[in-house]
Amino acid sequence: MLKLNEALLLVAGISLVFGVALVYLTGSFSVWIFAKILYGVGVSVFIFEK
Amino acid sequence: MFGMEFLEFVSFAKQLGLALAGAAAFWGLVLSIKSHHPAKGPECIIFDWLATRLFFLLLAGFGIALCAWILFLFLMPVYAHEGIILVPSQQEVIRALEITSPVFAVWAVFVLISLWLNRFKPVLFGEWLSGIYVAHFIFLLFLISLPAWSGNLNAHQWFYIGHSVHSIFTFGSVIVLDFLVLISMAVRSPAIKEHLYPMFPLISKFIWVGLGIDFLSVALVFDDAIQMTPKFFFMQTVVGILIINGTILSGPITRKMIQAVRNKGSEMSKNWMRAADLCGVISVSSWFTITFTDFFHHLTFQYWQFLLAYVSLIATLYAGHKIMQLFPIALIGRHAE
Repeated sequence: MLKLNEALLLVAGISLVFGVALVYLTGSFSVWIFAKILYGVGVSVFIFEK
Repeated sequence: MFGMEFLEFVSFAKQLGLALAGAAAFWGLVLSIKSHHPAKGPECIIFDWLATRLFFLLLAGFGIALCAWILFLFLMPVYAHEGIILVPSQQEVIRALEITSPVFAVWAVFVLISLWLNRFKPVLFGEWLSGIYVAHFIFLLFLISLPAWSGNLNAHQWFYIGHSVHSIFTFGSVIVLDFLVLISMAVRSPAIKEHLYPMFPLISKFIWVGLGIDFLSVALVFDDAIQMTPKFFFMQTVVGILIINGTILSGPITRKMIQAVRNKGSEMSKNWMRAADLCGVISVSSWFTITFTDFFHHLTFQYWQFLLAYVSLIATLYAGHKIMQLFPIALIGRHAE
């Protein structure tokens, strides 16, 4: 069972891989940037969890 | 060969040495602080013992950094990071070398003093261990922070700092983690595992934060730094894999390991053991790959060639890990006991 921070980080990692593909195909960095922001949220939750 | 230059190998070795020594000093400090528990239970001896072992890893990092530094002084490094390109001028690199070389010389003297204390005054070395690690860490933080000096603290300079310092908390910490796991396997002591494994979430936090520092530093220079090359796409793919793999490793697998050592006598199932081994190998291979590849910016590889080299490295390290479990660990264990 994954914790909240782990779920966020997992989605961030998967989004980053897809985001790279999207950058290659369309030149759009939107998903890539979303993944990096989500990563920051996931790490912040991890740091402040009990 | 493949667009690689000798100078780039030297730059990588310098970064590897400083990151390894910095991480050894940082985690040695954490372990030595944990050994000062007022209850003076067995955990004090275990953490103190582990903290002292990390001094040898610090020496290894120093040896690598020293060799690279001497060569580096005569060569002009050009940097690229995480597939993201921002090349400091030769002047910036020379300025940084001028500032950091005297500090490196003082640190080298301090390493020799620490080694002398460790060899001839072990009791004093043990008493001063926290202070010794603090001093080493301060030296290393400074040395690794200045791969180039732009003359003022502008966005480019913060990028250089963030993009270099994170190696202590990422690549260096991953090597320290592997070293500690290797020791715990070698001595076959359940007590060491019982105290060491609960530290893994803390180590993971620093690794995650280290990667976050890198992301932030790139955000500062985003417009200047992005160049859509096969290397960029490959590196970003590896970073994605690193995050997915790290989540599984630091989450469910670490919880299983802690649970297994707490329920004395119960062991992890073979599937979990295999998953832990594989994720550990993917972690160290991925950190090595992105750090190593960062320093080679004229690589002639296509995306699929990068991926092939990466998968080959994982397969080689996994095979090596399996062989290590059969043979050399027994030797290390005998020595450690």
